[in-house]
Amino acid sequence: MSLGDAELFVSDAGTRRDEAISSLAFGKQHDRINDTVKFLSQQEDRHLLFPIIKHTATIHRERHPNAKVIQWKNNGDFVKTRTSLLPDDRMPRDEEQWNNVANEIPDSFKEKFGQNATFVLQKEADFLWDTNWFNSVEETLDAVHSLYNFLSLTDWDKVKEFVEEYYHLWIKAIVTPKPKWEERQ
Amino acid sequence: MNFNFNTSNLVVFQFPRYAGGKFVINCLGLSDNMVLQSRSLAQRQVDGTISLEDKKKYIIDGQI
Repeated sequence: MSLGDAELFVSDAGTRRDEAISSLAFGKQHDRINDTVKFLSQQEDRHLLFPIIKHTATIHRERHPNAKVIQWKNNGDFVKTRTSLLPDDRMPRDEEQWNNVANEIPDSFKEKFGQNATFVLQKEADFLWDTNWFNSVEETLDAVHSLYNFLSLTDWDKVKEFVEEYYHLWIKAIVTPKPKWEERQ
Repeated sequence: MNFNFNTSNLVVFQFPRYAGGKFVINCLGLSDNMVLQSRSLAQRQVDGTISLEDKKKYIIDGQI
């Protein structure tokens, strides 16, 4: 789960944001989950999709049985390059740094989560995003276009030009060294 | 109303931090059929009161 998830899923005021996000990860209701995402989760007549982020290499399929899963692969080089620009206090945790998801469930996971737990293995993901695509604007645009088609989003032609502009802004931003948290404005 | 964990409208993005996932989510969130990671903007999309320009501004402001 991420800060972005909290911004979309959790009611604006008050505390217990982490608790609410945790409950989502475990497939449990929580009173801080806001009405907007509850509505989005219930709507059947409108094709209005909404995102949720998982940063770990293991996710339980049974907790979101009908969701589409878009999984990243070949992350190592790209993440290593970006994190090399970070101060130590902004480095991600070990469990949030992985290159590829396994194609078999390790025995250690079965022992921890039970024989019947189901994970999204790389060979079973609905769409694989290859992080190497970010090395080229053309490949990135082609891949985003593929995702639009995969998710039946029909307005690619309307957004393509901006996506290209955004790509260049983003690439420029991520190669700029980042300050420590305490030095951010 | 409860959150429906069986929804088919949910898209799970599984990526390690700093692997560019937020960039892709923002690109998809430009669509009329997907929301961005903001409750207020998502509600405006449900209500039909958000424009593509509003979404672009949210993304660019977050990038700066």
